[in-house]
Amino acid sequence: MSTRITRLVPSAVAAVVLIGVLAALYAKSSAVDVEKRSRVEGYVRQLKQVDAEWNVDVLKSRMGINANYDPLVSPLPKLRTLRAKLAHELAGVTDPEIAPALAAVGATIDHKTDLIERFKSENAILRNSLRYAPTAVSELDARIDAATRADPARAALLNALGNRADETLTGILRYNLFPDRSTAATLATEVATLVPLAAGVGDDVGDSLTNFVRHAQVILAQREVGDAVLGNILAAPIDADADRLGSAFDRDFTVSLEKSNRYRHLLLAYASLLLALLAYVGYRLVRSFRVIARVNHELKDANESLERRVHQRTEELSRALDDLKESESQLVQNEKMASLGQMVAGVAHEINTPLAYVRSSLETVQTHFDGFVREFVGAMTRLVDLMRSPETPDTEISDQFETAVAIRDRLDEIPVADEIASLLKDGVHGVDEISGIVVNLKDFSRRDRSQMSRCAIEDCLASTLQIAKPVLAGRHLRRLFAPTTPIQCAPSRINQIFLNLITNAAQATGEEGLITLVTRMADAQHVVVEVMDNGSGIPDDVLPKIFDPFFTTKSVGEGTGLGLSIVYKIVEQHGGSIRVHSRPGVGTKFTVVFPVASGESSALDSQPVPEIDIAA
Amino acid sequence: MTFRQLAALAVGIALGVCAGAAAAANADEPLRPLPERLGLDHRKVELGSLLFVDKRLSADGTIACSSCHDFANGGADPRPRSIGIHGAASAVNAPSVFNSGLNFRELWNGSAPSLEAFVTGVVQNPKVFGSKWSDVVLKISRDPDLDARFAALYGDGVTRDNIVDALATYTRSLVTPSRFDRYLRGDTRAITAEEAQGYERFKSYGCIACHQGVNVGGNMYQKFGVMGDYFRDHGHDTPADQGRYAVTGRDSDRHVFKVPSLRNVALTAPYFHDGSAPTLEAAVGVMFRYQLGRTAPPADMALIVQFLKTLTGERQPELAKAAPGKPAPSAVASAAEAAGRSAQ
Repeated sequence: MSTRITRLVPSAVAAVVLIGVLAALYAKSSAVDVEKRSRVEGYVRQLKQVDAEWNVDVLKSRMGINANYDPLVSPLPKLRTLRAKLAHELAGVTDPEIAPALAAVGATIDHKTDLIERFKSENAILRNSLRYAPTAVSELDARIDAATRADPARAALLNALGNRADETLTGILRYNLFPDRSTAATLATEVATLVPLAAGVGDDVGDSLTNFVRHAQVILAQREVGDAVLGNILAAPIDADADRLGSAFDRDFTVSLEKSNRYRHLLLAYASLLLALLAYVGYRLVRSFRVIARVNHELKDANESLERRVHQRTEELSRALDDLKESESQLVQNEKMASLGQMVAGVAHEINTPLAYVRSSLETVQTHFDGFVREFVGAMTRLVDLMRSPETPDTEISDQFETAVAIRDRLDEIPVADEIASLLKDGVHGVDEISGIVVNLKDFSRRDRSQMSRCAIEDCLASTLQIAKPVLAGRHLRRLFAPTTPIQCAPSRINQIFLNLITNAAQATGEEGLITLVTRMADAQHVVVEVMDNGSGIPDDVLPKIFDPFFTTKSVGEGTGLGLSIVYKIVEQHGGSIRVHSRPGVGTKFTVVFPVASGESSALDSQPVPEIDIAA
Repeated sequence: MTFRQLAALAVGIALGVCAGAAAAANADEPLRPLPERLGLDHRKVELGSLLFVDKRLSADGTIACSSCHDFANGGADPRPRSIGIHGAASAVNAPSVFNSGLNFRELWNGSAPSLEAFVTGVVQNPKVFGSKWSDVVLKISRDPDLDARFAALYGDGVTRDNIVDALATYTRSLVTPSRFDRYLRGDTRAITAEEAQGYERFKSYGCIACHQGVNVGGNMYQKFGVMGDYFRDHGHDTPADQGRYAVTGRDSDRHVFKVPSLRNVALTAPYFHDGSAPTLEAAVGVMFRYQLGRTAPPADMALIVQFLKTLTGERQPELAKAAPGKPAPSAVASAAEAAGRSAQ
C-alpha cells in the first residue's frame, strides 16, 4: 500500500507542477483588469464632473443665483467617496507616479474645500454688508432729516455729509459690480475721510455714519479678499490632477496589458504543449488498456491452469501423505525390530547357558547309555537268546550269566539310573528356562497387544527389564518404586518407551554405571516414571534436538535416529509428556508423565512424591 | 435719486434673488424643507436607538448618548456644559442631535467630517465616554439580544464600525419636520402672518447670509464676532473659544465655528458654543450686534424670534423607514463614507 503511494508521489507532484504553471500563466495573462480600468476612468471622470459642477455652484453662489450653500456642501461626501474608491482601486498599482498623483488629487481637494469654506464665510459677510449698506445710508438720511428739522442751521453741513455718504455708497456698489484696484484705493480713501466727520455731527448722525463706514470697509475688504479666494478656487487644479492620475494609471495599464499579452502567448504555447502531452498520455493509456486486457486474459488462463495444478498437486500430496503414514508405521516397526535385534544377541546369550547344560546333561546321559546301558542290555539280550535256544550248552549260559552279573555289579557300583534321571531333570529345567525367555520375547514384541488396556506401570517396567537384561550387563540398577495408580495404555508401546530409555541409559554409562528407575505420583491424576543415569550426559547443543526425527549421535548404521522421536510420539499419544534434564559429566534424567486411567480416582497417597535429582 | 435706483439694481443683480417673487418661487428660497424620505434601514435605526441609550458605551457604565442629548430639550443639553464620566465637564455646550445628519461636518469646530467620525471619536474621548472600543465591542457582544441583532444586520456581527454605523444611521433618522417645512412646501397657512413677517425680517436683516439651506445653518463656517470682538467683550478666550483654529492652526480660523442649525432652536437653550445666552432673545441680540453689526427695533427682533419658533419640529420615526425594494441612497452614501474612512 505504502509503496503504491510512494510510486504515485512523483506523478502527483508532476501534475501539480503542470497545473500550477498553467494557473500562474493564466493569472498573469488575466492580470489586466479591464473592468478596473473602466472603473478608474469612471471615477476620474466623475471627479472632474463634480469639480466642474462645484466651480459652477461657487460662481452661482458668488452671483447670488444659489440661494444657499447646500450645493457647495453636497459635493463633499461625493468627493470623499471618490477619493476612497480611487485609493482602493489604485492600492495595488505599481507605477511610481500613481501614489504622488493620488496624493496630489487629495491635497488639491482638501485645499479647494478649505478655500470654498473661506469663500462661504467671506461671501456671507460681504452679502450681509452689501444688503445692509443702502439701509444704513437710508437710516443716516433719516437721522440727517431729523437733525436738520431740529437744527436748520446745520442743514448745509449735514446734507453735504449725506450726499457724500450717498456718493460713497454708489461708488461702493459700482465697485462691487465692476471691481478694479484703483477704484478700491479711491473708495478706501473716501471712506477714511468720513471717519473723522462722525465725531463732529452729534451722536445720532455720528453713530449712523460710523455704522455705514464699518460696513463700507467690510465690503471693500471682503470684495478684494473674496475675489482672491474665488480666483484660487477656480485655479485649484482638481481636473488637471485627476487627468494626471488618469494618464498615470493608463500608462501603467498599457504596460500591464503588454505584459499580459506576452503571458497570453506563453499561455497559448504552454496550453498547446499540455494538449500534446495529454494526447500522448491518452495514446499511452489506450495502449496500456490493451496490454492490461491481454495480460488479464493471460492471467485468467494461468489462473485456471494453476487451479488444475493445485488440484493435481493436492492429490499427489495426499498420496504422499498416505505413503508417509505407511512408511512412518514401517519405520516405527523397523525401529522396534532394530531394538529387538539388539535384544536378540542378548537373548541368544541368555538361552546359551541353559542350552549348554541341557546339552551336557544329554551328552552325559548319552555316554551312560552308550557305555553301561547298551553293554548291559546287550549282555541281557544274549543271555535271553542263549537260554531260549535248547542246543545251547549250559556252560555257555552260565558264562553269559556271569558276564551279565558282572555288568550289573558294575552298574550297582555306579548309580547310573539316578544320575540319568537327575540329568534329564536338569535338561527339562534348562528347556523350561529357554521357553520362558522365548515367551517373554513374544510378550514384548507382539503387535496384537498394542491395543489399549489398563495396566500398572511397574509391570511394564519389569517386563522391559527382563528383555533389557543383556543390555544392562553389569550396571547397577536401583528401583525406587512408590505405589502408583494404573494407567490406560498400550503395553507394548509403553515397553518400547522404557526399553528405549533404559537402553540409552545403559549406553550412556560404563560397566559400573548406576541406573535408577523411579515411579511415583506427581499428583492424584498423574503418574511419573523417571529413568536416570550417571552417565556422560547430553551436551547443551544437542539437547534441544534429541526428540527430532532422524537425529542421532551414533554413526551411520548404528541407529535410526528415530528412537526418541518415537518415544515422544508414543508419550503424546498417551496424553502424557516427556521432559529431559541433563548435565554433561553428571548424568541424564528422562521424566515421563502419564495421566491415570479415567475413573481411577487415586486411592493412593495424593501427596506428590518429591522428585529425585539426577545427582542423588 | 440715481443712487437709489442704482442701489436697487446692484442689489438685485448681486444677490440674484427675485426677492419680491411670491411664495410660488419656493425653489429659490434660501431655506429648504427637510427631505420627506430618508431611505434608512429601519432595523439599523432600531438597533441604533437601543445603543443611543446604552450606558455600556461609557467606561464606567454611567453615561449614554442620551445623557447629554436630551430629547425633551430639543436633543441638546440644557446644561451649559455636559458632564462626562467621572464628572468631567465638556469644553462646549452640547448641540442638538436632531437633524445633525444634515450638517456638513460635526462638532462646533467641525473637526469631525461625518457622524461616523464623530461617534468613533466621542466613545474614546476621555472626557465623555472614556472607553476603549475593544471593551465596548466586548460588552455589547455579551448582550444576547444586541449580539443577535448585529449578527442579523451585519455579516461580521458586533464590531466597532458596525456599532458606529448603527448609531450614525439612527442619528440620521432623527429629523424633525416642522410647520415651517410645510410652509416651504407651499402650505401658506402653516405659519401665521406674524411668523411669515418674522421670516421676512430674518432674511432682510441678513441672518439668512449664514443660516440658510435645508438645516437653517450647519453647512458653513463663520467667524464669531465679524463686526465686533465678542470674546474681548465677554472677557474670556479659552482654547475652546479658538474654534476651528484648534483644528487647522491658521490664524484666519481663530474664533471660527460651524454655523449651527437653527432647527428646534426654541428648545435648545442655552445658546452658542459656550452656552452663554440663556434665552433665544438674548442670542438673537448677540447675533445682531456681533455678526450683523447693526441694531433692529425690538418689534422686528420679536418677529424673528416668532419665526424661529416655527422651526420647532417633531421626530417622525416613520421617516426612517425605507421604501421596500428601493435602495436607500443616504445609507449607500454613509456606507461609502465608512468605506472611505477605513480606506484612509
